[in-house]
Amino acid sequence: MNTLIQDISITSAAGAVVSDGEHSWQDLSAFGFGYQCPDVVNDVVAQMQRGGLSSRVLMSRPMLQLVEQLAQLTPEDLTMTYLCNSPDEAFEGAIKLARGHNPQRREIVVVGQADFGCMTYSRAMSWGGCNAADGWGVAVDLAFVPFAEIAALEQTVTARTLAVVVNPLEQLPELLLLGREQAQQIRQVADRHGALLIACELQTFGRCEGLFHSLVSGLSPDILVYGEALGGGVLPIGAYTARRCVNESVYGGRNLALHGSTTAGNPASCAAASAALKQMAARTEHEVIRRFAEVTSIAAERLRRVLAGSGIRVSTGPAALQLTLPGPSAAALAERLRQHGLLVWQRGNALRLSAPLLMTVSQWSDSLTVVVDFMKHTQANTDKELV
Amino acid sequence: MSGYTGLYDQCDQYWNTSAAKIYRISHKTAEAEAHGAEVVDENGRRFLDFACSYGVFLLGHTHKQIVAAVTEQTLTLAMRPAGTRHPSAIALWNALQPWLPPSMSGLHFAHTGSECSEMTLRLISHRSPDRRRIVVAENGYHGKTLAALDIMGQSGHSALFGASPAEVVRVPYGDAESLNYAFQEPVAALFLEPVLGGPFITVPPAGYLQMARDLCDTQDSLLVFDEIQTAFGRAGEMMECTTQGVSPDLLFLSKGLTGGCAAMACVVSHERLSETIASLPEEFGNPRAGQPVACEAGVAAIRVIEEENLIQRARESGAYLRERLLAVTAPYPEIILDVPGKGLMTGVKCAHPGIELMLLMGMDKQNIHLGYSLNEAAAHPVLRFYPPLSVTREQIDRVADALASVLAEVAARPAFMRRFMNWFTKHKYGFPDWLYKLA
Repeated sequence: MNTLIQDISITSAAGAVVSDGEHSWQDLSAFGFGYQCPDVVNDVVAQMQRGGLSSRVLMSRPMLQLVEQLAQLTPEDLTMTYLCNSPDEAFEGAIKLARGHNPQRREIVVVGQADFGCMTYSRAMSWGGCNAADGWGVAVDLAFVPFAEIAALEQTVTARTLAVVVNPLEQLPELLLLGREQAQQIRQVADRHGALLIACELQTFGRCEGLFHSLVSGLSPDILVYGEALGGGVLPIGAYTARRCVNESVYGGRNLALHGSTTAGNPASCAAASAALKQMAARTEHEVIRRFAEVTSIAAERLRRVLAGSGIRVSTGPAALQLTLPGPSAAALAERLRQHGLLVWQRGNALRLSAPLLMTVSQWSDSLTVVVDFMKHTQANTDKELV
Repeated sequence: MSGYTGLYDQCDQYWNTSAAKIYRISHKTAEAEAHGAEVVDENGRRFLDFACSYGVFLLGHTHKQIVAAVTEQTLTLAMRPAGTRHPSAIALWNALQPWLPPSMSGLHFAHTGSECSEMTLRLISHRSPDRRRIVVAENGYHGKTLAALDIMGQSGHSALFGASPAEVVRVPYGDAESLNYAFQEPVAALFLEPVLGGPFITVPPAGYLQMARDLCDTQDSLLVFDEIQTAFGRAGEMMECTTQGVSPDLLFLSKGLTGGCAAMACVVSHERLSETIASLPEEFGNPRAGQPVACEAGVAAIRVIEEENLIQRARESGAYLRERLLAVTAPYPEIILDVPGKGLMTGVKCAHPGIELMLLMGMDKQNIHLGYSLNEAAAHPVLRFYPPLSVTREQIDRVADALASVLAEVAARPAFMRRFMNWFTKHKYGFPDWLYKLA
């Protein structure tokens, strides 16, 4: 749980800025879309007048148009999309599909440390399995391998493996984006043993050219999970898109109630997603991605110089920057940044900033400058105990 | 109807092939809008909605007060950052609290009922790590996500997805002796719907819920009531547990919670669990759920229920609906076995799944939507009649009259035709695509 912000009662928000009526912050705490985008809000409100949720007896044109659009945006061969009420449910649904596809296999191999969501299986797979022993338990064995260490992966994946799960952005201990060669090697390892490859792009979605890092890296997953930004900062929605043959091996010719939810893919959330995708089309153009990367890289270099000798490591991801501290004091640092108008993500000794998709390059640059100046100040003064 | 071929194809290629088959063979159109008890398709055809998405549209579709509330909140602040708070959550708690059993003290948000089950199972394991026995009702339903499937009482769902890591004991619903027997070993928790829902609608015998409470108390087991279908007037009471004076440790709410205008679920916890919840390594609830729009929908929905006196109306309408259903089905005991239920949580118990499908199709031709069980494994599925709480006598009469004529048609069919429909129903997803296109 994010104890840093649970005491804040938000009353308004716009773009990247949230406010409690007295204070305002740039919300850099999640890989989100941003808030109150007028185009998304207007489309959702219009749909709510016609019917926000659906009776589901008749077909839903907003949903069917959205799933066709997503088939065109996701990597080739991924065509069947299941829309969910949340990103958490989308990842869980992907694992359920994989289990149904390979019911005789009993192991899932997770590559790297990342956040896969709040459901039971997701939690067990998150953060290198540190929660796996806690709680209800899962009916599969879980194995974890370091991010993109192909030799370790080769040794771990076997004929027992039903799926290899990879989040293309490792989040702990540092941000690290999956490279093209590694992506292809992971695909090959999964193929060699007949395991499905699940790419969880809950964090990278909307931050890479063509929306998905799987497209940039050539990861070529069997199931692609995404969400978070898909709801346009207005309504929760998540999705997975799978190869038709995988989907049909489990759900084809079977009762449609085998998998489904009363409210998933409702018209209002589909309206939000369609409007959000229009906004993201501009955000994921090559030039915009390049400028965000450039600004992030410059700030990272400045921070490395400022923090030289402190033991703090600086890493970057798509429109994201992370500080990994040598000691467990990232919470105090995050709290100080909050006082400087920035809400950041923190876990253990890591602290991360990521730009919402509605943030402009100059706003992102300004936020990073606040961080650089703040760190410069702490290094030059008695605040060193913070780090 | 050929104008919808493109949508059937979209459905088949990009979403769900089984759904595409059903839409295609039943010549379904697309929904354009929905208001009150009516759903309107793109051709302007109006359907009376007695399905209500299995209870989601408790207050009908796009109720003006609720739409106004969600519109205003969407224009102001639709979502807050995960983990932060918003005043609407407190407003929802204040609106809910008077209707809850005494000493319920915590409100924990989720996106769906499945998520409520999953987080509750983790809480149970945390509280009683050495007890692995969970008791659930046969044919009970608490969601379809992987961990929730572990406690699914219906057959057919979980077989594909592997074994549960826990010891889950399924007892016949309403059977006191079986429930007693299940507690011969230490039990971590008991999950119950106060009225068994889905295609198995069953009202438990008097005292059953209190007996469940007593058994849990003797072992310090947790009692979980899943009121996702029953609450907010569906079964004729705001909350079944409150009316019966039985306090659960954890209470699931969803479906009617937002008046059909947003997707949200929540778990309400008893104060005796406060310390356990505080000791969890994670937040009890999804920090991304309970967003302002959904909470405002919930506040408005409860206000509408109170202002329009819908609980009382649901009791009266429910009694009238059951009376009419009993009357029109009485001449066909070989087709309709029972009219079970309570309040507006009712339906007709069919002799077999084929009958259910024939009735559904017949009523659809009369522009009436009913709650199809989608469960061909159920021996005697209940075709659900779940109108909005504001349903009028005229609407009930229209539905009952239509059912009378459809039953007469079905009864007039030769027995072999009914048997064929039953066979067809059980195999309807498995025919080759060309057959559906031909149809």
